[in-house]
Amino acid sequence: MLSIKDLHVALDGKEILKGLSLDVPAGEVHAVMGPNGAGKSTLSYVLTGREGYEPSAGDIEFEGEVINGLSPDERAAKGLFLSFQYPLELPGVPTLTFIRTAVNAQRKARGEEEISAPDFMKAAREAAKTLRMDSEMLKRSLNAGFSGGEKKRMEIFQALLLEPKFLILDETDSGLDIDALRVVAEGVESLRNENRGMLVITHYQRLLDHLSPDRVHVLAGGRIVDSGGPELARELEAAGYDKYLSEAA
Amino acid sequence: MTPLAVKNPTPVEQGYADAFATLEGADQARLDAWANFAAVGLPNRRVEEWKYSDLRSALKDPDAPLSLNAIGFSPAPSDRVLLEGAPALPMPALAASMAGAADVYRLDGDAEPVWIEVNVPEGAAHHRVVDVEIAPGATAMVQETYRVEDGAFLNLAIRYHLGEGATLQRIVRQEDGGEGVAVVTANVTLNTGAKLNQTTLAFGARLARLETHLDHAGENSDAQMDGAYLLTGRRHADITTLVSHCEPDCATRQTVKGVVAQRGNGVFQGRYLVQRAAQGTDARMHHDAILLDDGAQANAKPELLIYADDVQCAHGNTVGALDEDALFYMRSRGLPEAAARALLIEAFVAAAFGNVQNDTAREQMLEAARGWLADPDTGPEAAA
Ligand SMILES: Nc1ncnc2c1ncn2[C@@H]1O[C@H](COP(=O)(O)OP(=O)(O)OP(=O)(O)O)[C@@H](O)[C@H]1O
Ligand SMILES: [Mg+2]
Repeated sequence: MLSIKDLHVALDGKEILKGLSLDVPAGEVHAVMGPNGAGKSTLSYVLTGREGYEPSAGDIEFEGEVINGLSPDERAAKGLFLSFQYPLELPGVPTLTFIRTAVNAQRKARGEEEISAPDFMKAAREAAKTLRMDSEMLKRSLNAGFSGGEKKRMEIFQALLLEPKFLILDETDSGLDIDALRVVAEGVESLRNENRGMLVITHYQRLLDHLSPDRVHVLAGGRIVDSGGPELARELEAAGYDKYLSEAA
Repeated sequence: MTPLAVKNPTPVEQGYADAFATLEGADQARLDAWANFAAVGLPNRRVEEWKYSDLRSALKDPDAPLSLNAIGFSPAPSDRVLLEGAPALPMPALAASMAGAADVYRLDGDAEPVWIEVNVPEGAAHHRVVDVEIAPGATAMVQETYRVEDGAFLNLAIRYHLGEGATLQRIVRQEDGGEGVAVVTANVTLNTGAKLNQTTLAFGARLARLETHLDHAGENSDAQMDGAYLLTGRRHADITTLVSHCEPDCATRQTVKGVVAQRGNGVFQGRYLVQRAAQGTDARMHHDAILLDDGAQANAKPELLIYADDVQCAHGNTVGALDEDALFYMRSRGLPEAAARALLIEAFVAAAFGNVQNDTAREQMLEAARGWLADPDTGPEAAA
């Protein structure tokens, strides 16, 4: 479904990703772990088409199509969704207005009909229930003054309404308390199906305990340096990244 | 008697001097008004208060015919009276000397909303003095709309006098003025417990200046003075406010937002003068501008002059680009770039309309801002 081939990316002249390759087939959840500064968030921005993060070499294929040259909104319409490590605050932009505008922009780009206001409100109520969100929160400006944990929950709320084909979760677990983590993980889990893929970036076993990934990859030195089953995450939790760092250096 | 001459007059100043010289039977107030204008002439950038808005060089046509019926009032003013005394400031003084009389509204508790709408046609000039008296305890709403076509010049002086406990909602719209010039000078006096709620929306012109002088002349008076300017092309808009706290326990709050595209030029000047007697003053000024293009400019001059010790005064001023991180965030959710920019700008500007009490008026201002954002000819996305 998502296939990354020999990806090279430099930021301000410094190469961050140095030939990264990774495949996530439809229906699978893959975790990416790695030390701070390894390039995990960089990867998430490259995949979603952020300005300044254009690959210098390599391809990103999504559902068989090279998407390197597409804009962020075109990629969103194709079904890519990034849950940001640090979601932005949009003061003055009402949460539900924003999400509905996004849903309809994606639908329009795909040549589909707009969602009606009642259908959207119904979906929003259901998503809020799944994520145990207070309806007061939905009346506010998007993320404005939200706590770190509330913002993460709001990212998944948006995912539930946008129904993307592929989710990239960049440290969605950080900032969430234990109960919130379970609720948010359930929200993510509810999106899981045989047609949908996920790339879960995390530092902790906690989220993976809930999501049980199909594969775990280690990103260090700008490449995927190791891959394995769920047991790899537990090994990393115990042993850290030392062995990869000395290899990469 | 020959009127006082302007020193080294520009052709436009000479034109006014000639017009004034041919007047017959001008009363003393009118003569004084002319003298006050002639002493300084048209303000230019060497005058500190006008350093960002050079009116003298913006006004070029000495033969602009006076257009007397450019103004529409609804309902009609209560009265039209000869001037009582001459304004001190040059532009109101010029308006007074040319108009010779003032249109007067006396608004009491049952007054219906007032509309003042000015359309100065191409190449014409219009000078006007308007006086609005709001009775003690009364609530009034006045909506002013100003439009100047290419080469037109509007110079309007409006005075608001609020009695004890009176409330005024003042809404000022300066419509896109292309190559015209619009100068509107308001003088607002608040007596004890009176409240001003003012919102200004300016789309600019060759030069547009919306100036408000506010006197807190009674205790516990309160003012909210918000505004926004939205500029493209080479339009210029200047929102200048001079607030004088003379009595204790008065409050002033301001939120001014500017969006400037292409080679537009926005100006915000805000001065708070807090006199020694004005203990307990609470005055807060905020101006934020977003520049959308390299050639766009915003000049801000906040000034706090504080002579009382028990006061809370603050000002904040930011000028920057549209938040690229926020734009990427919005686009990553599927909003095309233009839609993301428009939504972000709209949210930014809307903060200047949040205090408009009248829902219809607030929605109209938002609509006007949205219209500007979406306009392919004059909006921010228009080709420079
Ligand atoms: N604009 C930039 N110019 C130069 N270097 C940058 C730029 N942005 C990020 N970097 C560097 O790129 C590297 C990768 O950063 P990235 O945010 O992708 O790391 P990460 O793996 O997500 O780390 P963390 O686990 O802390 O979130 C870091 O060393 C960072 O300092
Ligand atoms: Mg990161």
